[in-house]
Amino acid sequence: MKRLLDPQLIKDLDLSRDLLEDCYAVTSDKDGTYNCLAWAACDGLHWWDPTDEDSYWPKEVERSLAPSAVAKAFETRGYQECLDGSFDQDYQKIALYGTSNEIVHASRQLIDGSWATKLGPDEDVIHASPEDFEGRAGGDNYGRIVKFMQRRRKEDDPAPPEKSRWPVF
Amino acid sequence: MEISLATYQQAAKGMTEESRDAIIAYLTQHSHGHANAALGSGSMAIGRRNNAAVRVVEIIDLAESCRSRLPRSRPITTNKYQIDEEVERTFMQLAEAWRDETKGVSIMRDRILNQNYQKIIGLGPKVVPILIRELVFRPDHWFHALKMITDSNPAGPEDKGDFERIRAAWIEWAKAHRMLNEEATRPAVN
Repeated sequence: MKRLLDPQLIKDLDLSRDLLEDCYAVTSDKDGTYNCLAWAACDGLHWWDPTDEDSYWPKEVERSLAPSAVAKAFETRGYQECLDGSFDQDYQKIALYGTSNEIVHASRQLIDGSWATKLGPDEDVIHASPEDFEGRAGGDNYGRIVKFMQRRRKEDDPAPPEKSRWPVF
Repeated sequence: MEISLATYQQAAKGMTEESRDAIIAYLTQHSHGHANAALGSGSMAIGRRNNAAVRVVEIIDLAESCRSRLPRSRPITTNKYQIDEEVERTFMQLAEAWRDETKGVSIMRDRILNQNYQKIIGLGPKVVPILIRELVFRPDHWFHALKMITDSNPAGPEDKGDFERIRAAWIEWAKAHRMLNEEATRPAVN
């Protein structure tokens, strides 16, 4: 059972990723403008989804959740399939979750080796390993990790948004 | 909808649900400038004749005062798209269940095939002004439901995946269909 940690506590105590084992921490407000596939590709502005014609999907890629199609979508952003999610400071890795038939979730490795995940239209979280979100999480079944992909890290990789971009009334 | 002077006079005597709706309808249809211009020209002449102009000014002042006391979470709608309270109650229950059951779900297919979302679509045209109000005050993924119910899609191909642009397109669509005025989309001051 994963434990939810207060992100302020993590910041205050400067917890290392070892101490985050088996935990995850919420690092943003809810934001329905982007989803996990977008967030894995460092895109905090769009909702990536081949199943919805109003959502973003790379034009040159088949609109399908098949692992090969989703991998092609990430290839348009420079990612290539790799063996595993082990940490390499020169490469940013992503994990694609689901079944052999379709991908339903993704997460991205951060520069400190922890992993960032967007929970649908809800919050961003960080967790220690990509396996933390295999299986059931929240109301969704994310399945198992089907593929790892990687690309060289860029200096201008976007930082996570600090606040929800939805208007406050 | 034509509002008679008698209706305004009733409003001046005391607030009722009916007179409030009449005032809302009037203010939805007429900007300040329009009202002022009308009072400043022909209407003033008519007003002098039947001594109604001063009365109208008083009533518009009252209407403005009433409007400022309306709940700000509820956009002003025309009578045609008046929010049905029973549909609103049903919607709120379904929306809460939908959010709960699709928490963490990233794939839109799975979000919109949820039974609660489908039931919201099943509420039909009466839920449209409620969905628009939600887009204004509590944005969520109501675009598919709006498309299915209205058979419209105001978002362009360049808007794909951009929540804010699609939301803005639907709010403009709602204004064009007289579901919202500028006042209704202005943030409340707290």
